[in-house]
Amino acid sequence: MHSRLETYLTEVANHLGPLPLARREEELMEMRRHLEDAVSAYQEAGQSEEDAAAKAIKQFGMPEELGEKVVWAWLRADKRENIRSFLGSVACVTALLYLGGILFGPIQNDYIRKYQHDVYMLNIGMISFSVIICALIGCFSGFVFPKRAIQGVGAALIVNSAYPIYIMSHSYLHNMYSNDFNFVYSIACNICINVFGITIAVLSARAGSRRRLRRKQIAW
Amino acid sequence: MRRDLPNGDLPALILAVLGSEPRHGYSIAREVEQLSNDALRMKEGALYPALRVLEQDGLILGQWEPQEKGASRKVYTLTEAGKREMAKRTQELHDYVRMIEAVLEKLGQGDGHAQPA
Repeated sequence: MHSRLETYLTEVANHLGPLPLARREEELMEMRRHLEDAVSAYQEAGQSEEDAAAKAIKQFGMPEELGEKVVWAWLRADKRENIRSFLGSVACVTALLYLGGILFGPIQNDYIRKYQHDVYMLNIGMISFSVIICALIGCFSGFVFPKRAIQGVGAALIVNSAYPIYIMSHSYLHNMYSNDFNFVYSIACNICINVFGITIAVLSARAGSRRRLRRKQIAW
Repeated sequence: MRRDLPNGDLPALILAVLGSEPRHGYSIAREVEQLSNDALRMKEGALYPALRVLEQDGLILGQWEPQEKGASRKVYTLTEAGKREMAKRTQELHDYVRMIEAVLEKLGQGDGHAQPA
């Protein structure tokens, strides 16, 4: 390729700052093909290689202006993609939580019934169950909606974890707790388990999204 | 007469050009020139951000395709949504032209001869 074109494309590349590497390569590749076609056409029309390259570059536009426009177009898509990814992961987590509740709820209830007098086994079982479910949900959402999965998973689980606290408060107001300490203890345990679960889910979402983004990068 | 193509009209022209057949970037630029009898001029680099926006909106689909001659090119095709958008924008342009013609007619310049001020 003509050295003038290469210099011009390097200048354009310098203005494509925030674009991911793969995206930048593709943009430059497309521009390179265009410029090569233009140079060939001008040469066929009788111009020297040097004049043809100069004319093609002039016709293509200022590198900084072009770079700005390309970045703007990418940021526009990125913003949309972020919103879509966030809402998608919120919906995904919520759906999986309810599906999990329907599918594994009976197993969980059997377990609670079996170990209701063995607090140690009961806690171990519930925490393990919570960790496994949160890890699976987080990882899946991270893989499917990689861009804003961490925020989406976190937000969805915080909202969903508010429901048991609402139920407990409701029970407390209807005097279903034998004393205030039991109520406070239940709330505190619930918050601890939820914080632990949300942390596990967010870390899993991060792992899932990283894996997906790496795959995407390879596919580009 | 040659004049710069307004930025807002570029997406409509791209859709119109792709309406006839799938094309790559350089071919789109040449077709816009030919359709306007060389009257509309644009910085060809501006084509790519516009193509990217149309791609994001699902109006066109770009795919790298090997060419008979030379290296592969990214070829753009109009989607169904793009065809609907093209019809809408073409209608809008027709309406705009009709409106301008009506204004010029009222000013007595419909025949193309400008009256001196």
